[in-house]
Amino acid sequence: MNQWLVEAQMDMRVLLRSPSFYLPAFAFPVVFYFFFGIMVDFSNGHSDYLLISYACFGIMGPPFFHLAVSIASERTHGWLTLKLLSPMQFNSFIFAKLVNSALFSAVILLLLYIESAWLAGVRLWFWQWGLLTLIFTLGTLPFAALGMLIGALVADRAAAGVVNLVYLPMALLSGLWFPLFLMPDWVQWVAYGLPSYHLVQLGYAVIGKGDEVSLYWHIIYLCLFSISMMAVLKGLSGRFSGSHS
Amino acid sequence: MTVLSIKNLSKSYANTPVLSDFSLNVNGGEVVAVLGENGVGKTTLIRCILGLTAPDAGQISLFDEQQPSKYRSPSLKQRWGVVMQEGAVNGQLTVHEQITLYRSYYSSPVGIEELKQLLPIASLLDKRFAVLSGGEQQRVMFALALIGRPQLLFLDEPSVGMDLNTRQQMWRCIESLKSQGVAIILTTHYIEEAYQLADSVVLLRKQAPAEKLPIKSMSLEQLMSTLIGENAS
Repeated sequence: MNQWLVEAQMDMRVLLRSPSFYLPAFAFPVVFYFFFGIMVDFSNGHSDYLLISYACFGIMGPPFFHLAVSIASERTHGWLTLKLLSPMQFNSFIFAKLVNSALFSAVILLLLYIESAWLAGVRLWFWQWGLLTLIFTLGTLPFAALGMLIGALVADRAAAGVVNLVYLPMALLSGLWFPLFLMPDWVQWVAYGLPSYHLVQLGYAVIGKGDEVSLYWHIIYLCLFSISMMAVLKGLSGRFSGSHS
Repeated sequence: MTVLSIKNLSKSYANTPVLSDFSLNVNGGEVVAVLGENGVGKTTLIRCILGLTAPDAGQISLFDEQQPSKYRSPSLKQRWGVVMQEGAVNGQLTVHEQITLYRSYYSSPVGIEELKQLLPIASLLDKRFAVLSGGEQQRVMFALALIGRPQLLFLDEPSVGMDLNTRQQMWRCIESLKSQGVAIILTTHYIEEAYQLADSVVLLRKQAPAEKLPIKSMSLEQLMSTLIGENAS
């Protein structure tokens, strides 16, 4: 069978056998949206706005955690070294993790769509649901790249902690939990430097609630961020095989 | 055919020489055991050959191709098999799944039925790697190293943790591979294992040149006294 397919299949099996990975990944955005978007209703009747916010928050988790924690584990335990001594194509290894992260993110999106439509009465056109899914599924890439960087730099025991140190503040400072206008001015300035801010603005634009900045700038930022992460990773390639010593 | 040729290889860590002016030729169908105390550079030697560690000086040639850097081509990796001392695989996958995964990497892999005939892994296939004993894990690692029908096999302490029966089965497998022309580099702490399997022994020593001993012309006692003498000196 094709190497890329088998790699993705086995990576998915590992994920499905790791409830500590997927249960929090599924539960957090759904529960947060329920409390802050539906019960407390921070958006003051605009549940579609908070749907986008929590969708962005939700899809960041799988690429961050999967890429960072699994790569750190595979590096630390020598699993990756053994694979790299085989004729495995490194791209197939990364591809498997990217695809599976995106699939998990798509499931999170589906759960949030159902929740928002059922409990919060969110109604969007079919093309809007489709476009949001496309944006947020492709939008896992910058976080996957950052996850890979974390996975290349830290040991497996530290990876989840480091991801949380990056993921949660990034979500908060991008206005994914609470709208940015409720936060101090300096937070808004910090937000401009974060990929999650630019991704969520693309989502808001789909429901007609984006900021005044051109969408091209958000897309360019996300592309540049991903490319720069990959460039840094290229320089650290020796760390994947344990051959940096 | 010379499968591996090493000329004047040197490697130091923090100004402490580990390998110094080391040379070695290994031909197809030859088993070379690398012996020595801990820290004399057995694993460093293997890592340099595999491209995991850059030597300070010297030349490495594999299948008549010079290896000027740490890069090893995919076509070269199709031709070797590796059991690393610190190597392992993801414990969440079953042995059958591991074999399926590693089979997908090779152009002409060994089938699972063939592997089952080579090594006693049939009872392990449905078990996750993480629940296996140390000896069973080593058996699986050895099986994974054979999947690509290697012409050169690196075995870094392959029988650690194996029970006597499994170790003897592995020895039979190594002898069979050798008869098929596979070159094997073996590091081991078991002198009798080296004596049983190897055509020659490379003795690595601290602050002394490495020595290649043609052990087929030596008795086990002579080999042991040579090693003990070196350790004592």
